[in-house]
Amino acid sequence: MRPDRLTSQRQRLRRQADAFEFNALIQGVSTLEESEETAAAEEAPAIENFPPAAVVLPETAAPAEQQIHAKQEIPAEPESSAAADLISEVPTITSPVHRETREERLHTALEALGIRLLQEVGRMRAALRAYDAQEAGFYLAHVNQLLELLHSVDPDGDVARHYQTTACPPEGRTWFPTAWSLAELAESPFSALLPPDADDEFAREMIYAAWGVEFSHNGT
Amino acid sequence: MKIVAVVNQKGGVAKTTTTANLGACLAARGYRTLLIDLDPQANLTLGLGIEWYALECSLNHVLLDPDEVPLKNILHQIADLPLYLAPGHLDLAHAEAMLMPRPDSAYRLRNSLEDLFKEETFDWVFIDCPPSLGTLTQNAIVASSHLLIPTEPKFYAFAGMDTLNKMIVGLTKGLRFRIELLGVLLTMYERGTRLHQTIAEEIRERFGDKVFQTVIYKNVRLSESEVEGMPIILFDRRATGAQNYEQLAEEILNRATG
Ligand SMILES: Nc1ncnc2c1ncn2[C@@H]1O[C@H](COP(=O)(O)OP(=O)(O)O)[C@@H](O)[C@H]1O
Ligand SMILES: [Mg+2]
Repeated sequence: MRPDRLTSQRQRLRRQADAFEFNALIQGVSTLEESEETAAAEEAPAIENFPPAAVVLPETAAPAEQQIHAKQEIPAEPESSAAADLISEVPTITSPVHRETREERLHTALEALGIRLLQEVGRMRAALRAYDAQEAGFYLAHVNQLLELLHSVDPDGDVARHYQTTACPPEGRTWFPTAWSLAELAESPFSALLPPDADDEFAREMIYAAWGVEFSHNGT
Repeated sequence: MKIVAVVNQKGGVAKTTTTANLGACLAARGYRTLLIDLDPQANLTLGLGIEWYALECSLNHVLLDPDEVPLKNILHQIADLPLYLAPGHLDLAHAEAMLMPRPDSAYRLRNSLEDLFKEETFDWVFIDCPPSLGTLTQNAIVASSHLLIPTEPKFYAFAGMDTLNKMIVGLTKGLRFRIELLGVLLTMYERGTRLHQTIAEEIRERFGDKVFQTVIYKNVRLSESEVEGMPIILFDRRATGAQNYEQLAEEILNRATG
């Protein structure tokens, strides 16, 4: 490699490092040193300030109203083969058991998608906790895409419910609606995950970031 | 005792490889070492020769129902060493979901470890984290005294550490914990690659002596030992990978005592 090339790479790295923040890592952090009173006040951790990620959990699902809304907006499409192909390629989760029939394959796919959905929601939640709208938008795009797939292969969530797959919707409900716009996000249960002091600007940045995500070859 | 979360939200940076092999090197020196597989992919468990899908109980049970399944009950001893594994399972992804809405969700692992330590003692505990910053990784951070961050000498290394930094700062707003950096470990290092050298220098520039002197070179024997289901020091002691992790163990012990 030519030395001037290396120099410019080094400069790019330095600019990056300057823009970033590592102090908490380098210096370490502690929230244990506060006085007893503060500690007592924190017995119920402020984690509760961040509303729970109710979004994917049966027992804390969104109001039925939103679900009806979702049903109207998302037509119950038949299982397209394109979607089925996509699902059979869901990365990172592989089942040791080979399932044979079409129904069983759908079961496997729903399980994999459900797990993936939870992972992506978890990542989105972590990004939101860190007030990182860009990163949250990135994961929101993944969440939306997974929801679109789930709606298309199991429109009412019946199959998922039948097999009790991970994150299956509770009785009488279908999958959560996607949130590709500010209005949809506001109505979506995902809005409960926004940091308490997040404003419109923050939500908009998150949505714009989600739009910027490309779904290309490597499954992202 | 040090409890070390091996963390980096990027996958494939050698978190699991480091947990298994550093743990084995310390155990081989006589230190009682506990490894915790907190990744639903359960690669650490498989890589140490235990087939998670055949297990009756694994970490997900402990996190969800510690009264029914205490951590002590799921430990497996590895290779006659003072090395113990709390196996992971795909169902950890499910546990993560079940835990999310609970107010104590981030303290589950810490509570289980505290119960375990009433009956058993360990010198080192390493927690292999999933490649995400969700509830499971929060559990690891809250339960740990130290962080070990493996990273490849790649351009995104700084961005990854910035994200991790943000997460830690975010957690301080709501959780009670104390953590310090044990070190940043350069992995998959390729000898003679100028770019790797440059990136390594820049990381050392920012993180100073928090970067381990030891570097883990790219070495295919590490992947092979994983497939064989054993730590590299038992598979091929002479391999570069084995020597690198031995050296890392030495360095960590010297730091801890010196
Ligand atoms: N130093 C190394 N040289 C070559 N291959 C490695 C090395 N370290 C890890 N690997 C391999 O790279 C892959 C990813 O490593 P792994 O430890 O599973 O990463 P992570 O846990 O961060 O996802 C595994 O197949 C592993 O065997
Ligand atoms: Mg891993």
